[in-house]
Amino acid sequence: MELLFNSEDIEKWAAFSGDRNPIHFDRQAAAKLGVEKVVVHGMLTLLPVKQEMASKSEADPSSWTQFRASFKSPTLIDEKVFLKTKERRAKQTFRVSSSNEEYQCFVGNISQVKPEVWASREEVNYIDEEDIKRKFDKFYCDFEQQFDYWIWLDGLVFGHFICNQIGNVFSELKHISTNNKMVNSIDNLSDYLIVQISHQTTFSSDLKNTPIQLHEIPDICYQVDNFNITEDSEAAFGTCEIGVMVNEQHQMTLELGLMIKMNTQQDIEYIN
Amino acid sequence: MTTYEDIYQVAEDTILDLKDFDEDEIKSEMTFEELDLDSLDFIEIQVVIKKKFSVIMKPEAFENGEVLTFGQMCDYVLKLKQAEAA
Repeated sequence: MELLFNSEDIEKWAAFSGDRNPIHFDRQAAAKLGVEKVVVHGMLTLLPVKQEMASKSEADPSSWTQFRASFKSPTLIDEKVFLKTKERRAKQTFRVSSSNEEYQCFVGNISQVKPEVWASREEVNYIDEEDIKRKFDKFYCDFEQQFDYWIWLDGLVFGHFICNQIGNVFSELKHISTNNKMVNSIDNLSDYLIVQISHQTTFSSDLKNTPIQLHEIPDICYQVDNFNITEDSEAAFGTCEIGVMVNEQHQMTLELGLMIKMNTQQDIEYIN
Repeated sequence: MTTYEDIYQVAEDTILDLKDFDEDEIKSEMTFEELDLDSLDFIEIQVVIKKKFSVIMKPEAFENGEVLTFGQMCDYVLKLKQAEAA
């Protein structure tokens, strides 16, 4: 399966997610990452892969589905990349590589897992009803391919998190100083180099079977918890989990793998 | 109690998720070069090991030559786990 993302696709995702990192729009900004073209959002590149892999995964009503991707190198604008799949140990695995397989953009798999239980005492973050409706309409209008409902929900919560709650990650860091600046949005992360190294979505069979419609706007909220971070004075890496509740039922858990470094003159902010 | 086999299974599964090996290709005597692991792969392995076994692999062990192969890495994690339990 061939994948190709252009400037129009990037703008659609940026409008939906709120991620307007310059590396996704400006060649000079992207050049600081050592690439010659603008970088496509990692979550954008995952959209068709999630859909394709979910179609290959036979869901068992008593289990949840887990999709996982590890980012290896940036996917570039207007550059064809190719998806290959292989079955391994009850998982459907995939690789997205450049046309000559010179480099891999990302790898991952999809599998059935035991239903997840979410228990957290962390703050509950609610997504406004009007935002939910607006984002739903925009997503399914802008992206012609009819992605499954869980894919939209994954993107919705991810976008809300990086625009509003990324500070939760920084508050867990002991060594990397925020210099007392408020860090709660991707808009004020210029002192840091942030790379998303992985994305895992685990979701219920109910969610997998939810039709693409919004007759009633669901109540969607999430909590950020279960930080697993290793750090020294220069860098931190690890994961955090986002438990997503739809109409008060836990239906999805996101696990974001992140690497964070203090900016040097050579490094710039980069979040996938 | 965590065993060498537990660690081996988790680490092997992680590497199979990241690299294009067949299931029976990974051997304990393979070096990291033979496994073609890059820095991002190492980070992912460290994160998984910390999550599953609650131990932190120190970069020095890899840099000073103490840990050169996949099997040695599993031994190293086991020792960390045993030290934590002691």
